Amino acid sequence: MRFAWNPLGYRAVRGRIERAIKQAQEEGRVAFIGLVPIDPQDMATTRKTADMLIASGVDIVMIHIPNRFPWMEGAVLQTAARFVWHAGITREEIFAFIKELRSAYPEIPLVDMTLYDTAVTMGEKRFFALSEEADVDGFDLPNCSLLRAEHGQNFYTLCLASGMHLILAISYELAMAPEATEEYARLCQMVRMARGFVFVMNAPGGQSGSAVKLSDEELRAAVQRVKAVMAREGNPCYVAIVCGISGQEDVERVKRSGAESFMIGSAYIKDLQDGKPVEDVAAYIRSVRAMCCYEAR
Amino acid sequence: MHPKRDKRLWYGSYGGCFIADAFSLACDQYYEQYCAATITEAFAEEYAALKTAFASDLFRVVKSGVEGLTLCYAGENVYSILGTALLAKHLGKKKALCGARYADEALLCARICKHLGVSLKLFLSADIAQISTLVTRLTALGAEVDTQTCRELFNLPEMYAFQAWIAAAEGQQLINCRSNVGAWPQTNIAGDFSLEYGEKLLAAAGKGYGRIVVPGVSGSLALSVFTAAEELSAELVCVECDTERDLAEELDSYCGTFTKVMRNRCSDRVLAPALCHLADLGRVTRVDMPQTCSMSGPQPEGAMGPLSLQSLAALDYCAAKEDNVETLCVLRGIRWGTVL
Repeated sequence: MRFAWNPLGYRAVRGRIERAIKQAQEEGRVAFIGLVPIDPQDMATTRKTADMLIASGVDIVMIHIPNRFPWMEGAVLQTAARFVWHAGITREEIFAFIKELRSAYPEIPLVDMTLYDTAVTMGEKRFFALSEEADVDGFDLPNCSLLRAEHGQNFYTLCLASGMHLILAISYELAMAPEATEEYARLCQMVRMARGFVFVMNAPGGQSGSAVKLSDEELRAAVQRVKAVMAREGNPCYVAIVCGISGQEDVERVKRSGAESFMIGSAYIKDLQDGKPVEDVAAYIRSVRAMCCYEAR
Repeated sequence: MHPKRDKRLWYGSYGGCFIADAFSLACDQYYEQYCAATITEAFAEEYAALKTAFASDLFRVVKSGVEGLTLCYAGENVYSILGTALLAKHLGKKKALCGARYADEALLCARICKHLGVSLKLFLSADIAQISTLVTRLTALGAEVDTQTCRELFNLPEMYAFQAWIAAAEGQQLINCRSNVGAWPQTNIAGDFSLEYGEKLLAAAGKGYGRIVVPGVSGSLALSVFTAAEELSAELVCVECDTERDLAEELDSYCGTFTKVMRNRCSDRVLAPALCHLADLGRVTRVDMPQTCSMSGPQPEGAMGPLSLQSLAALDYCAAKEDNVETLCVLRGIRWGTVL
């Protein structure tokens, strides 16, 4: 584990997420966040998927830790969750896999993607300890309320102290909230607390694989607004787009929006579920990576 | 209506605390709208009319053959469905959403929405989605019926309704059948509407009981009775009985509400968070009964039809007590669909 001193405070910072996005910027492209689904066959097959994603150019790797009530996920990730539950794969096995992945890829940013429910059912301390042991760089826990709930604040404090980022998600409505409203106050609070990057949701409800997406103008406006508030609040983080990203036009919209990164998961996980050979999925991932470049540069 | 905001069940030990900050404002706004709407005369009048038209408050109270044991046969507590459906109209929502596990609640929901002129999308559990006569009837009542999602993904109709609601909360209304689903204030609102049923049941059953026993699946009926009885000195017992015996209790969150879930690798039974809270306070005792002889025995006195598994277990529980405590045992009929 490599820590860097953050001049803004006492906290230790792992820094892999920031380095990955910065490197993508230096290479003239947006950073690509990929999602590793847990394969119901075994963890060895899951490892092959992770290796394929990294070899194909994914910059930041999220690992899907399935929930029993996956209400913030779309049909593809719900199917993935169902398969994993029926296969009897435990969360401990998933954390062992993440630890193994860290050993193999010491510089790749790894992020736990799950609902806060996972921490509750496992016990928050155990969840956090296993994540720390696996040396993950952060958490995507979309239903962990930071502003309203004590547990969220406590978890955030733990993250700050350990240098792991709690990735926050901002909806279009929140991003565009008029000043002097309660929504705007919440936006400012979230932006102040953001670390690493924030997700701007490309779909209402924040469901993965959503067919309902923001328009080009809406997405750009949301990203620019969030960035403006970040600048005003003195906490310039990166912005990543999530939900409903799959093809060339989506990636172009991401680039036009001014976001530095985006996430794809459901689009290729569906192919894996349908039995598509991993080589074919790798070709898709490589094609997405190629789309990441700003042509003008 | 007397909305009761209980902060303990807001962001406390149990309740609707697991919701993204991006969505919590929609939940807050819904609560404010609910409070404002339900204190108006217009709402009260129409709600009273709805109850008369759609709710059966007939409680059959009989003395059992066992000394000191009174039986109260209760219908379904549909007040939450009535109330949250009526809110859709009064809040000017374009569409109502509901996840139904039982045929009777799906049908009731569709009838009420047609009556109120509210468009409805129903997510049916995998079990009732296969009843073609039900689906035909729901469609004839104008409901948009989703029979696929629960068959293809998780058999959690309430989850899909909640998911659809949170995606566009401003223009849509979630109809709650029970008090165990959804981020704050969904479970609280369902509990508020249901409370009146418990009060009526206790009024019909009379006073003087040292113990009140209610069968529980999600615990929504028990919660309404026990909330109404909270100030009484009676011992409050919720009797649970599952067809699968390997369920383990876990803390989890169901669409944002933090509560207790009884589960194995295939099934989940989600308890109303407010009931868990009462149990933690020691006010309610939860009893897990095995499936026993009553299930193959004769119908008890006064029963109009077959009783639910949990009701039979509650009877067994009462019969096994030999402490001469005057006991009220609430019983309900079997429903078509699976347990949650």
